[in-house]
Amino acid sequence: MKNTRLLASGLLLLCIIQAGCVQLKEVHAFTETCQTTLDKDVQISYGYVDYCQDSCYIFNVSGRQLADFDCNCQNDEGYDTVIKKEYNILSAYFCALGKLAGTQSKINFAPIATAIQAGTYGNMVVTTEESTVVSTLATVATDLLTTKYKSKKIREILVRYNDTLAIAMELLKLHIDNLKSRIELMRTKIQQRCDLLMANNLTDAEKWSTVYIYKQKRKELAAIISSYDKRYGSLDKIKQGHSTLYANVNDLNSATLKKKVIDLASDIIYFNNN
Amino acid sequence: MGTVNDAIFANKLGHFYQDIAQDLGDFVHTHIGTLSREDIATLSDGQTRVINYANQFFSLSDKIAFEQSESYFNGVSNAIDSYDKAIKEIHDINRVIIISTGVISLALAIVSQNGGGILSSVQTIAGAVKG
Repeated sequence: MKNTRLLASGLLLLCIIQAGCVQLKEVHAFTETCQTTLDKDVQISYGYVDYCQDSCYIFNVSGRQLADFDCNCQNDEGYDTVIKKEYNILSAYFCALGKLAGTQSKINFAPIATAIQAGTYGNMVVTTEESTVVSTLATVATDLLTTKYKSKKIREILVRYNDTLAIAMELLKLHIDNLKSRIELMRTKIQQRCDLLMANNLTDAEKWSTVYIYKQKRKELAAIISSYDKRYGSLDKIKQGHSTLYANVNDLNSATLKKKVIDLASDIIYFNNN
Repeated sequence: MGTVNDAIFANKLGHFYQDIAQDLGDFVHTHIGTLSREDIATLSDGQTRVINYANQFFSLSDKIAFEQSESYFNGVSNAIDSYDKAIKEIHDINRVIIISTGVISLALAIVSQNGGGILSSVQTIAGAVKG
């Protein structure tokens, strides 16, 4: 009889907890996409050092000896490291956010189940069977409570860190855009030099060589610029997504928000695959 | 204006000069068969200087080096959007040269935070754009 009452109370407790529990699968899907994208984009195939080495000869019109085109790119190595670190930090942030939103992951709480052992507690005797039943319920409750805790915690984190994240994302976007634009300027410079060379009295062979080198370098730079556009686009969508989560922080389970974050995740995946 | 906004503003200036540089390059590229050697040299020299300023602004944006820029840059901000379209539409070599000279003076005034220089450069460019 005592067991039945205890079991009934436990089930009721579970129902109450479950009713208040928030499923954040869509939020988790979004944060996971962000993390994957940031981890992918940190692999920079053409960074500040590469730009330094290319711009060193493309912008140098007065160099005569090979030594004149040797350049010191030590600072640029530092910039590349900073960009990588920024990507890694943002990736870690979305990983942490994903852990809070994920239904599979758990926060490491001291399990409630271990608090109930078979034995005599004042006037009440807890049998082994009772202990097992309650412990099982407690384990489920721990998960649900953890999810409950996580959804509360995710709100707290979104509110507390939204501004910081927005600034960090904006700065990273700026760095990406600044470098991309400087690469574009290098492309403009190549066009200028080739136009001026072609206007001189070149032989046909010299003209053909000039055009060939111009086309090859333009193609190479176009691919690099395109990769930077994708990275910028992904960062922009990630930032938008975080702002959307923040704007809906009190209703993370709303259908509108779910659709928005899934759409943004799809956009990010699109940027990565096209 | 906060540091992030300063960096954004420097980036915007960089884009303004980048667009002008590209437009000057396209102008030379399109008209190279009819331009005199002197005009080509003048425009190419101007384009090189504009490219250098654009690079400088993007570099500044990365370093977030602008400080107390608000008082100098408000006027420039309003003017930028109208100029970058204008040069695409102008086919008169003399006006193109005046505009490129004007934007170079403007960049110099911005970099040296010379308020009077900014105003006079903006007026010069505005005059050339209007014709």
